[in-house]
Amino acid sequence: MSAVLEAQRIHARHPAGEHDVLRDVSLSVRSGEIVVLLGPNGSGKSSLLAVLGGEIPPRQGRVLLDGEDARRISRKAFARRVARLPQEPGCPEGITVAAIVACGRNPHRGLFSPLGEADRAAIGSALSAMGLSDLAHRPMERLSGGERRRVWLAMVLAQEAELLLLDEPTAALDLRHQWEVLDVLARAARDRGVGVLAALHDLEQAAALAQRVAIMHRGRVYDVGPPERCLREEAIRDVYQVDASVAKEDGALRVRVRGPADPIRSL
Amino acid sequence: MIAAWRRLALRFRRLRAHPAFLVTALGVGCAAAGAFALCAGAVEVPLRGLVPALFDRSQPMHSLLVDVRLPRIVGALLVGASLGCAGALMQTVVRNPLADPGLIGVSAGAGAAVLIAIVTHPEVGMALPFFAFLGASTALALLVASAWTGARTPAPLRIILAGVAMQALGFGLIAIVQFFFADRAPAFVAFVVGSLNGMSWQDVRVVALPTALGTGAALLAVRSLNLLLLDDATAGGIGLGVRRARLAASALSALLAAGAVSVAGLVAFVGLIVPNGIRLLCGPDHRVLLPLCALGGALLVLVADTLGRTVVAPLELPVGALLSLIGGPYFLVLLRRKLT
Repeated sequence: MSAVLEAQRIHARHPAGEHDVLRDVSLSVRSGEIVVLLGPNGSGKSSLLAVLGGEIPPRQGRVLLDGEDARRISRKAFARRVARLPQEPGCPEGITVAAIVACGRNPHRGLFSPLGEADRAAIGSALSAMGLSDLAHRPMERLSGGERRRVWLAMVLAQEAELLLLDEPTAALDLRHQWEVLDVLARAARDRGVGVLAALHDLEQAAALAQRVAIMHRGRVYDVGPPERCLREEAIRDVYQVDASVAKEDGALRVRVRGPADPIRSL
Repeated sequence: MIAAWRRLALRFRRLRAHPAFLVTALGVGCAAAGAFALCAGAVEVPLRGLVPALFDRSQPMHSLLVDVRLPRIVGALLVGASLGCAGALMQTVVRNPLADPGLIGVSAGAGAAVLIAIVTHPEVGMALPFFAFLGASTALALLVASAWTGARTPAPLRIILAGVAMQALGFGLIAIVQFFFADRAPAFVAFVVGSLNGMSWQDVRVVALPTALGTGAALLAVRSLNLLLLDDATAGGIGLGVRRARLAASALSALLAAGAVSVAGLVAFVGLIVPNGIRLLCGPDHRVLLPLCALGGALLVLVADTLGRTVVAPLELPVGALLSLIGGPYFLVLLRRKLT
C-alpha cells in the first residue's frame, strides 16, 4: 500500500492569531520516505505539521491524501492512515503507560468494541520497540521526561498508520534514546514502508536520516531536496543566522557552528 | 511486629484503591445509610421492626416509611448520583478539577429556568427537567463562549471567574422571579442552597429519567471521555472529533445537573468533593470514575440529608447547607493544591 500526503499552497494562521504563520507552503511526503523539517523556532514547522494533521484548517490551499481533500475524510479514517504527534502531548495524573499506548488503537476500534487480538499485538510491539515493556503499568507522572516522550511515540507507533507526522520526536531524549527513536523510524520506513515527516533541530541527524529535508524560514519553504544539496553553508547562515562549516566525513554530513552570523550580512 | 503492620497497611492501601473494593464499600455504605435514614426521625422506628413495617400495610409506621421517608431516600440517592457524575463530566470537559455545576453557574441557570417554568406553568410536572436542561445548557454555552478564546483550553482560573459571573446572573434571575412570584415559587433559601424536604414519589419520577439517561449515556461513552483527558491536538491525532465529544459530554453533564436541580434546588459541592476524592484513589479512568462518582455522590447526599434532619431535630437543616460547610474548605484545599 502506498500513500501520499500533500500540502498544496497552504496559507494558515493560528486560531487566535492575526498574521499568517504559513505562507504559500507546498510539501509532500509519501510511503517509505523520510522527510525532515528543519528551521529555527517559529519558522512554521509545527504549524505545517498541525495543518497536515488536520488540526488547523488552512486559510488557503488544500491538504490532499492520495489526491483526496483531507477535509472530506472522516477523522477516524484519516487517523488510520496518518498519525500525528504534537510537540508537547499532555495527560492528567494517574494514567498508565499501557493505557496511553492503547489510545493509539482508537481509530481501529468501533465505538463499543473492546481491545482485540490485533490491538494487543500492536500495543505490545510498540511498547517493546520503545523499550517500555517493563514500564507498562507505571503511571505517567512517575516517568522521566525522556520516558514520557517514548510513551507518546509508542502510542503513535501502535496506531500503525502509513504516514507519521512527528513534531520533534527526539526532544528531551538522551543520546542513546535519540538514536533508538531515529533507528525505529528508519526501520519502519525501510521494512514497513512507513512515510515519516518529522521536525528536528539537529542538522546532522536530519542529514543521516532523511531522503529529503525541507528547510522552513519565516513561514515559507526556503528549500527542499536531498540533504547534501540543501544543507549548505549559505542556507544555514540565511535561515539560522549562524556561521557554520559543512563537511563530509565517512559519508556523513558534519556541521560545525562557529558562532552568530555577521548581523549586517543577515539583513 | 512493625514489619507485619506495615505489610498490612500496604495491602490495605492497595485494596483501598481497588475499584471492586470501593464499589462494594460505597454500596454497603448506601445500604447502611438508607436503613439508618428509614429508622431515624421525629418518630423513631426500631431497626428490628423495619422490614415488617415496610412490607405490611397494616403496620402503623407503614405509610410514614413508604410515603415519606423512602421517596426522600431514593431521591437523595438519585440527586447525589447525578451530581457526582455531572461534576466528573464537567471537570473532564473543561480540564479543570475545580469545575462543579453548582459553582460555575450551570445549576444556577437550570434553577432560574425551573423557577420560571414553575411560576408560569404550575402543572409542568415531568417536563421540569427539560426546562432545567435548557437553562443549564444556556449557562454552559455562555460560560464556554466567554472563557474559550482561541483553540487552547483556557487557564483553570479563567473558567472559575467566568463561572462566578454566570452564577451571579443565574442568582439574579432567581431572585427576580422569587420577588414577583413569592406565592407560587418554592421557598427561596431552601431552593438556593438545595433541600430534599418534602420529596415525594412524583419528585423521584421527575429526577429518575435524567439520571438514568445521563449516567447511562456517559457510561456508554467512557472511551471517548478517556480520550478527552489527552490534550486536543493529541486526541485529534488519534481520530477523536474533540469538539463533538466535548459538546456531547457537556450536554450530559448539563442534563444530570438539570435533573437534580428540578427536585432539589441548587445543591453545590457534590460534584466537586466526590470526583476529586475518587480520582485521588483510583485515577482519572472514566470506566472506574463514573460508577464510583455515582455511588459516592449518592452516599454523600443521603448522609448529609439524614444528618441535616436528625442532628438538630425537630428543626431541619437543608442538605445543601451542610454540604457547603464541607465543600467550602474542601474547595480552598483544592485551590492550593491544584492551581499553582
